[in-house]
Amino acid sequence: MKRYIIIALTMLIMATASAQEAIFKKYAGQEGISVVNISKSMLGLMSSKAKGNKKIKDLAGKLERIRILSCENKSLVPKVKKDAMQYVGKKGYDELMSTQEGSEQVYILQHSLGGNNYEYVVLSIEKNEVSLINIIGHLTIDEIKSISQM
Amino acid sequence: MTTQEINTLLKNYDEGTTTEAQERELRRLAAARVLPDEWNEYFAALDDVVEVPDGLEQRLEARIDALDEVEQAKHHHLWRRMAGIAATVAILLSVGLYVHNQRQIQEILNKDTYTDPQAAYNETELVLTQMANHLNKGSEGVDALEQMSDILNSKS
Repeated sequence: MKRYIIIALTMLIMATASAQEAIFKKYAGQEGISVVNISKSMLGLMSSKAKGNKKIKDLAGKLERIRILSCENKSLVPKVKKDAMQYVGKKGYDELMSTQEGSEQVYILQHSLGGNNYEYVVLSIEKNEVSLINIIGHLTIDEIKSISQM
Repeated sequence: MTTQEINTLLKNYDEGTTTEAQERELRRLAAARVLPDEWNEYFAALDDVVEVPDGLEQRLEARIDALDEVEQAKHHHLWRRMAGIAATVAILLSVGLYVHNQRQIQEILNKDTYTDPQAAYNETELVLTQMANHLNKGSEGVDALEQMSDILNSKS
């Protein structure tokens, strides 16, 4: 009986976390770490309420969510970097590109969620700073690249 | 037996130095009402006392030890149960706190950072533009390599 209770509790704990959100959950609320969340409803509001480039507003309307984690806490940078790097080389995450500019390393990864829905991960690593951008939406690479050509 | 001998015997009995035979003799004299009255009554009262059966002391000690063991076993079992209950409560509390904490974090993550759509747009534009620039920069390198490859192929 005790064994079943322990198994049930373990499953309950595991059910509360998902692989995609684990890194955000781990560091959200910690000192020196900021988390930005832009939900689907806010992304939808932009097209009517915000002033700016129409193309970007149209693309924003295709997104489900944008989430950004920035770490400027020197003591946490190595840990966050290690957790963020798990995306690189992770099964299902294709590395679209990686660049190095000076001390900054940038990785862009794509993960298919099915039905033209993609998750993009932009990982930027510097000596004392790490940022992780997570974008989910019906957005292709060409559509994103087209922003630079506006 | 003379009066002096009886007094000596009673004195020795009082001091606890008489033998069993001497004690039996004193009891016999008391039954015959030869001793002083108080001694006759004393030995008569002793005769009313029931003799302790053989081995009773050992049996009582064994019984007390057995009861003591049962009592200790009960306490041990009780402590184990209490420790088990305390451990279960501690685990449930920890799990409850963890789940509550995770829910709070999830609420933070799900909540919009910006209440102003313009601020949200500005952040979105920045993110998408940076991403586009990086992607295009990466593509430029690939395009350059492809061009060089085409040139080399056309020359060969």
